[in-house]
Amino acid sequence: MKNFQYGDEHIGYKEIFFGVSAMVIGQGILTLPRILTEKTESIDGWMCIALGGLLAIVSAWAIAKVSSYYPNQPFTDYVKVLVTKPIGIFLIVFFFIYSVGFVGFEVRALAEGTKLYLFDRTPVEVIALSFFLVIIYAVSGTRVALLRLNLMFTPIVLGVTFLILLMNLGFVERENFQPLFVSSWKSILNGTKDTAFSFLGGEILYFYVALMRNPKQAPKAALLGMIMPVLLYIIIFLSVVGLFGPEVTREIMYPTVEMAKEVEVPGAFLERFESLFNTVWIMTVFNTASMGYDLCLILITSLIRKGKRKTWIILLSPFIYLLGLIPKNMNQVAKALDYVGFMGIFISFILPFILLLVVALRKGKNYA
Amino acid sequence: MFSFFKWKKEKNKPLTKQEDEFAITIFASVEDNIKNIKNMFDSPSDLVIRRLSLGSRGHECAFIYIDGLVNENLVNGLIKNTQFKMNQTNTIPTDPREILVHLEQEVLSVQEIKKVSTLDDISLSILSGDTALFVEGTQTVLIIGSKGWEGRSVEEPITEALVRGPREGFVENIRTNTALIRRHVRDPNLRFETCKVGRRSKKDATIVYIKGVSNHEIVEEVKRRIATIDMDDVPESGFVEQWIEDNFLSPFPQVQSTERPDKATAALVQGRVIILLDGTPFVLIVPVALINLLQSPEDYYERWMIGTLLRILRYTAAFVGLFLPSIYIALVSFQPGMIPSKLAFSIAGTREGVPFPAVIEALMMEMTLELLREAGIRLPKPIGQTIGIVGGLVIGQAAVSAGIVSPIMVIVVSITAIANFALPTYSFGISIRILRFFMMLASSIFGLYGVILAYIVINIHVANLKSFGVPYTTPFSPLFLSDWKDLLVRAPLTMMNKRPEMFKTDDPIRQGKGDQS
Repeated sequence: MKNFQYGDEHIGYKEIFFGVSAMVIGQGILTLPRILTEKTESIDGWMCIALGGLLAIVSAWAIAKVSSYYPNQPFTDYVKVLVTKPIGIFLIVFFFIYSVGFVGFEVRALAEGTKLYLFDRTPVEVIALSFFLVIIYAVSGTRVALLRLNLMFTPIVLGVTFLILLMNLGFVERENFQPLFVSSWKSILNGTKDTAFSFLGGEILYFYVALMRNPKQAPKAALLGMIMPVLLYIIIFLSVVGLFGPEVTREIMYPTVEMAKEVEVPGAFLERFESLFNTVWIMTVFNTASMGYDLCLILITSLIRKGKRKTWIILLSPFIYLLGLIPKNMNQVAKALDYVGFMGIFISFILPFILLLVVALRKGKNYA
Repeated sequence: MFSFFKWKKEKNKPLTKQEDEFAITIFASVEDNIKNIKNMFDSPSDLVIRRLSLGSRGHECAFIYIDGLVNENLVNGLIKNTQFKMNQTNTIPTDPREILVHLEQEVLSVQEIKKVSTLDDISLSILSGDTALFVEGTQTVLIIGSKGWEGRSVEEPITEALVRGPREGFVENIRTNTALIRRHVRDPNLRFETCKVGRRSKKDATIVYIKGVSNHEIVEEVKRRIATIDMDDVPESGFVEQWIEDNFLSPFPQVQSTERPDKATAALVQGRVIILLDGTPFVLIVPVALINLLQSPEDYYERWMIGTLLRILRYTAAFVGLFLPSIYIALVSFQPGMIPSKLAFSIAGTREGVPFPAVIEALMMEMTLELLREAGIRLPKPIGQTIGIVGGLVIGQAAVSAGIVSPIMVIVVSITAIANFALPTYSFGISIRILRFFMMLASSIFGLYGVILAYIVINIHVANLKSFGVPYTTPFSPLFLSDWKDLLVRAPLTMMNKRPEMFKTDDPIRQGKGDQS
C-alpha cells in the first residue's frame, strides 16, 4: 500500500528546537566537569561554559539565519551558490569527513562508557556493533522520523537528569562554591576551548532548516534550542563540583555519572542509580549519533548522486564502525574526538559567520 | 463486471452443455427472462419464481427472489396485494411500460423500489435479498426491497464491557449499525458512502464521517484505499483492515476496531472516519494514534479525576506489560547490584535450586501462560474455568515446589499478564505480548543495555509508522501540546474545547466555552 503523504516530510519549530538540544547534549557533559576543573581553579569552570555557550548560541543562530535565506535548500545546495562550486565541494567533503569521524568515535565512546558501568566481560566491539546496528535501523527510516525521535527521548533524558540533580541537592556543600573568580583569564579561555567541543551540534541546522515548513522561525528555534543545553550544562557542572569539590572531580573519569551514583532512592527500591542514568543516557547519544549519520548520508549523496540511500548505508556502515574501533583505549578515543572536534569547531563556530558575511555581501550587491 | 461473466462463459464452454449458457441481456418476454435467470443460477432449490396473470387480460409477470433472504411475510403480502389490486381495477393500461409505472406508483406499497435494466443489477439484487418483478413486454425490471433474514438483536458487546455507558453494541446487519450511528449523531453533515467490496461476496462497506469535521484529505484517502480492495470475499472487517493498513510488517494495529456505537461516534466527532462492513459487528476507526489504543470510553463517562487515574494506571499497565519480565531478567542476570541488597539476597535465596538461567525460566512461564490463555478462549465456558484452575495451580504451586521456577518469577509473570489484560484494546495487547518476547530476548543478551536498545528500536519503528498519514506517535511527536489534555491526564470536559489537533480536523472547535449564561 502506497503511503499517504500529507503533512509529512516537513518539520516545525519544535522539531528544530529539540533537534538542536538533542544533538548538543551528548557524550561531552559526562567528562566536561573533569576537564574544566583540571584547567581552572575552584568552581570557575562555569564561566567557561557560559562563554562557550554564548559562542554556540550565536553561531547556531547564524547557521539558522544563513539557512533560512535559502528556504527548502540544504547546505549542500546553497553552499555551491554562495562560495563558488569548488570551495563548496571542498567544504562538503570536509564536512563529510567530520561527520563520519564524529559518528564513529561517538559510537566507540558510548561503548567504552557502557562497558565501564554496565558490563565487565562483554567486548567493546560487540557493544559498539549492537548500538551501531540500532543507528543503522534508525537512518534507514525517514528523516522526519529521526527528528521526531528527539522529541520522544529528550524529555526522558532531561527528566532523569533533573531527578538526579534534585536528589543530590541536599548533598551539595557550600564550601565547594568558594572561592569565586580566582582563575586567570588565560585558563578560562583555555577551558572555553574545551567546552566548545561539548557544544558542537548546531551543524544539523545547515540541513534540517531546509525541511521546515516555515524557515523564518529557524533562528529563534535554534537560539532556544541551544540555550537549553547551555543552561543544563551549567547546572550540571555546578552541582557536580558542588557535590565532589574540584579536587575530587579532577580525578574522576566520568564525574557526571558518578554524581548519579550518589543518589539514594528513598525507600531503597533501586540501588546504583548510575546504571540507570547511563542506560537513559544511551538514548541521547543515540539521537546525536543517528543525526550525525544522517548528515553523512546527506553529504555523500550530494557529492555522488548515484545510488540510493540504503546502498550508501550499506557501504558506509562497515567503514564507520571500523573507524570507531581504531583507537586502542579511552584516552585515544578522547584524543580522536578532539581532532574531530577541531573540524567541528570550524564548521559550527567559524563557517557560519563567513557564510553570513558572504550572504550580506551578495545581498548588498543585488540591491545595489 | 461484464468481463467477469464473459470470463465465466469462456471458461465453462468446454465443460457444460449449450443450455447452461445465459445471455447478458434482458428479454421482453417473461418466460425468456425466467429461463435465463434459471440458467444463470443453475436452478437452485432456494430460487423462488412466482408467476402471476394480472388483470382481466391476464398480463404475464413474475416475482423472483431467493428463499431465506427475504422477509416472507412482506413478499407474500405483496404478491397477494398485487393480484388483488390489479384484478380490482378495470383500467389496466395496455402498454407494458405504463403497467410498470402503474405498479410502481399505485399497487406496490413497499419502502424501497427501483427500476433496473441490466442483468448484473438484477442478479446482485436478488442475491442480496431483494425481489425482482418482471413484466411481460418490457426490458425494465422492478426491484422491490424485501431484505429480511434472521439476525442477532442489539446486545451488549462482550469484548468491550464497561461499568458505565450504553449497553448496546453493533450487530451483523449493516442497516442496524448505520441506524445506531444515526441515533447518536443527528447531524445532516453525517455522511454515509457505501460501496461494494469483494469480487464474489459483493458486501456493503460504508464509510462514515462528518463532513466539515473530518479532514477531507483523510476521507479521500480512506475512499481511495477502500476502492482498491480486490479480493474474492471479505468475511470480516479484519480483511479490510489488513488491506488498507499502512505497514503490514508492523506489530502495532494501525486501525482501531470496536463493537461499541458510542465509541465509534465519539471517534466520528473527534474528526475520524469509521468503516462499517456488512456481516460483522466490528467497525473500523481510522486514523489511529498509539494513545487512542490506551483510551476507553469510560475515561470520559466518569468524572475527570477518576478518568485521569485510570489513564495513568493504564499507561503503567502498558509499561509493565512490556518491560517487567525483561527488566527482571536484566537485573537478575546482569546487574544484580542494582537491586537493593536485602531484596537481592531473598531473590538469590528463592532462585537457589532453580536449574535454569532467568531467561529460560521466564520464557517457560510466559509460554505456559500464553498456552493457558489460548486454551481458555477455545474451550467451552464450563471447561474453560477448569483450565483456569489447573493452570493457576500449575503455575502457582507445582512449578515452584518442583523447583523449576522461582516464586518471584511467578509473581513477575502473573503481574505482567494482569497488566496486559488491563489494556482496553485487544489488538494492542497482542502487540505488547509480541514485543515483550522481543524485549526479553534483548535483555537476555545484553541486560539493561539490551532493554534500552530494544526500546529505542521500538521507538524508531513507531516514529516511522503512520496511520492514514497521521504519525503514530502524536501527540508526543509531532508535538501537539493542546492534545496533552487528553493524554496522561484526562482534563475536565469543560476544558477540552478543541478537537484533537493531531487529526488535523477541518473544524477545530468541539464545544463552546460555556461561559455565556
